[in-house]
Amino acid sequence: MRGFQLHEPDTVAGAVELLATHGTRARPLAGGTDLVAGIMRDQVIGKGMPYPTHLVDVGAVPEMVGIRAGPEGAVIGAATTLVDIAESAAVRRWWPVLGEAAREVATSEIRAIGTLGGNLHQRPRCWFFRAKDFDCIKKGGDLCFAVKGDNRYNAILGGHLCFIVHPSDLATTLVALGAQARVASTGGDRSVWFDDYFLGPAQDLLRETVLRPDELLVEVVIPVPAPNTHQAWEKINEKDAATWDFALASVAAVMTIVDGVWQSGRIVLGGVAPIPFRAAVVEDALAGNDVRVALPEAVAEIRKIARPMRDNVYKLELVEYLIERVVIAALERGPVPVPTAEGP
Amino acid sequence: MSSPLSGDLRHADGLLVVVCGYRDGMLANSWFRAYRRLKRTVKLGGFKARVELAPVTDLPPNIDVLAVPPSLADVAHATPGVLECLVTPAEGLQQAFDQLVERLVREGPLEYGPTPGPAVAVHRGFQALTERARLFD
Repeated sequence: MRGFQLHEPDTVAGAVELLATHGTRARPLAGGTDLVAGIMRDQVIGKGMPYPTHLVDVGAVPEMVGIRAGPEGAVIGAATTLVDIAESAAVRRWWPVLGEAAREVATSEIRAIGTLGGNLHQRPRCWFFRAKDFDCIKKGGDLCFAVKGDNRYNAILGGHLCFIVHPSDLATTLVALGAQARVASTGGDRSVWFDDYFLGPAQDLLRETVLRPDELLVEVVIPVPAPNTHQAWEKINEKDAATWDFALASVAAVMTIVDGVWQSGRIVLGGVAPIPFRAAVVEDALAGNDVRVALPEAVAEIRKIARPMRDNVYKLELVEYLIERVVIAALERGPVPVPTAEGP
Repeated sequence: MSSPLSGDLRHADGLLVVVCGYRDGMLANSWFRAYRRLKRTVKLGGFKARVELAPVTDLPPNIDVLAVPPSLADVAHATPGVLECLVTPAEGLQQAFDQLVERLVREGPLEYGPTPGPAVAVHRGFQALTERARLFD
């Protein structure tokens, strides 16, 4: 691994100042499980993806660590570790979909140092992108090697010139929960809905989020779940559950259901598209219907928009099965309680 | 367009080097597609030219034409050694390039090159044993 300079600011203002000074050569660092142990160690670089020479460690910035939850919702600092989120009583009781996803990320060692912000901003999965000898479009090259190469793990939805998959387990849950990101920069703060936060290759080929190089995700704001909200999340790995692996497919479902009838909600897919993919076609097919009755046909709607490649058709069946399984699981668990000032 | 390109090109062999620049770390899909169209235009037209894509902070030397979106106009004009800048949104790049090529062919600096042979790349595993054959390189 090449050398780099480590900066340790103690405020958000200091961190964004450093990011603005060093531009694309600087990267925020928290747990470093993907940035240092993945991207930098494996020399994943290219014309459009310079090697980071300045790492801005935001793990010790107090404003970015911790969970505040109550009747107004939850605010989670971007540098909060995954284990803290998984073990938070408030998250487990009121936003169980987030807790479940945090509990299933990688291994306990990685969850102990990996953070919310790091999980959301980890670079995509695609073995051509991750291999240093393939100068792919995502790194500023000319070709997507997955189109003609072995594309068994690539996207079946939303790919365009590039067929990466978004690996974050937590991103799907935040989109499903209708959460917002608070972003800081030297020019001031702004809030972005997670619906608009992630960029697919159809918008930008080098970035996966709307963040500019001088911007930093500071915290995530999660709204209070409406009454009768059901939540569930699950992923399927290639290997068995005890082994660390990225999701072949994951599904987060947050839905309001009264007497078995779908009122509103979101079904978000991970591991099958370049961004957390909202399965709006399935949601529309379920709207106003008895969920158990309409589910099989609603799930099949995903076939109308999927564009699988030579080796990844299996993901289509996988995601159909998983949507059905997660929605039924959420139904059977019953609604989550509404947050109160007394605490969980 | 600024400082119209005329007379001799930078390369002794008469190769026109066109670079499509983008802001470091941000590459709009539309700009990439416009770049690929230019590349195809050059290849199919058989022009003695090479089109490249590069971030404006890391441009190759000896550029004849630098194409950038309007947000990078200042950067493009401040880049030393560029003979001509095409400042245009992605949708207008092809048209601007076609006009430039037409003018350069008419005025002389741009010529038709030899018919390119097949591109061959030899690998052992991930290791490239030969460079992918490039047009006129």
